[in-house]
Amino acid sequence: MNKLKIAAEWAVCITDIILGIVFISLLISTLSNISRSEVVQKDGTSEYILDHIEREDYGTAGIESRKMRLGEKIDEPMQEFYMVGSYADLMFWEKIYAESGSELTAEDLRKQYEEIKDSLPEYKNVFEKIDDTLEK
Amino acid sequence: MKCRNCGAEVGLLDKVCPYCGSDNIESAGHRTKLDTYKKKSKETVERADRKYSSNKPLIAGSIILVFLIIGVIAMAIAEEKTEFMDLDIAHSETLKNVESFKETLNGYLEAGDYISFHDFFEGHHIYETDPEYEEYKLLLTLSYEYRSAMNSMEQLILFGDGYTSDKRSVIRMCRLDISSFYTRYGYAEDDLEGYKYREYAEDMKYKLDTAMKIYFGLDDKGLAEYLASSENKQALFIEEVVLGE
Repeated sequence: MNKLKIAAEWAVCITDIILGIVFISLLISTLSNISRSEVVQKDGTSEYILDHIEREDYGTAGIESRKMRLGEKIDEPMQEFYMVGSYADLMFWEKIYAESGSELTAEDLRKQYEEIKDSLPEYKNVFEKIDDTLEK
Repeated sequence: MKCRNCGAEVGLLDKVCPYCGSDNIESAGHRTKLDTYKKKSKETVERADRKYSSNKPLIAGSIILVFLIIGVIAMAIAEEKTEFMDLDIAHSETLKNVESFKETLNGYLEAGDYISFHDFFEGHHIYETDPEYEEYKLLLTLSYEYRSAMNSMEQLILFGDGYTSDKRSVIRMCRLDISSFYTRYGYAEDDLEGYKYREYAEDMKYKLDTAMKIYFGLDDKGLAEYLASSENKQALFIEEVVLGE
């Protein structure tokens, strides 16, 4: 009888602990659901862009950088990676708009990438490489 | 019970008669029994207390267990209800601000920026199945394919000379994405008859045609031949253009 009682006490205690953990996890998850807001910048996006710039995968960097032009909030020190990516993206699209007769849009895109080029002279080599890929 | 001396009514436990003062002999037995009962009762209470004390952890644990079960069930329901709360809030915003959302969407369309049109739709959790946005349904499907095709092409075209990873998988993906757009556009052609946003759908195709011309050197005839060729030939063609093989 005594052994049975001890076993019951242990069973209740272990179940309490398990349920306590489940309860706390659910509570945290619920609170996180409630406090979750619009994600403005995915963690690591800037590193991701930098990685692609370093690997000379300018297209992917350009595609990722588009988010900045669509109003995504970017941390100040990381902005230049986005701008380098944007340069590639803008150049790719400028050619398409110019060729398809949307001269005004093409002109606007040209202005934007020229501004980026002028504001980041330290990336001159990268810009030259991007220019080369499009001129091939 | 009655007093043996005066016959008055006396209590069961009275030692003497309250009227004549004579001893109430019969009550002695009752009093002894009462003491025994009291003693037994005290022992029973003490035994019950001991039992209760020894079972206290089990009882407390069981009470906590019941509360935890109720808490876990309640929290599971709350968690499930709040899981997509942010999406639901975002979606309800799209229904509350239909006019301003449509203005933005139409702005992207007028600018010929179909990728931003698609991203705005997706990013704000606008449902094309909602009657308010149903008119964009076809355009959204096409813009999804257009976005994939243009992104793949951008990735492929903008590889620098220093890019050393395998380009063939990107080439295969690019071929597939381009093919998907033209196939989807072909299927949509009947639906485009009289469609409110037909000009934008046509412009999407025109822009992709233009990109094929600029980056793959395909004029109208070349593009028609390319699209009519097999998947293998299409991939070989892109490889030839991009890799120079």
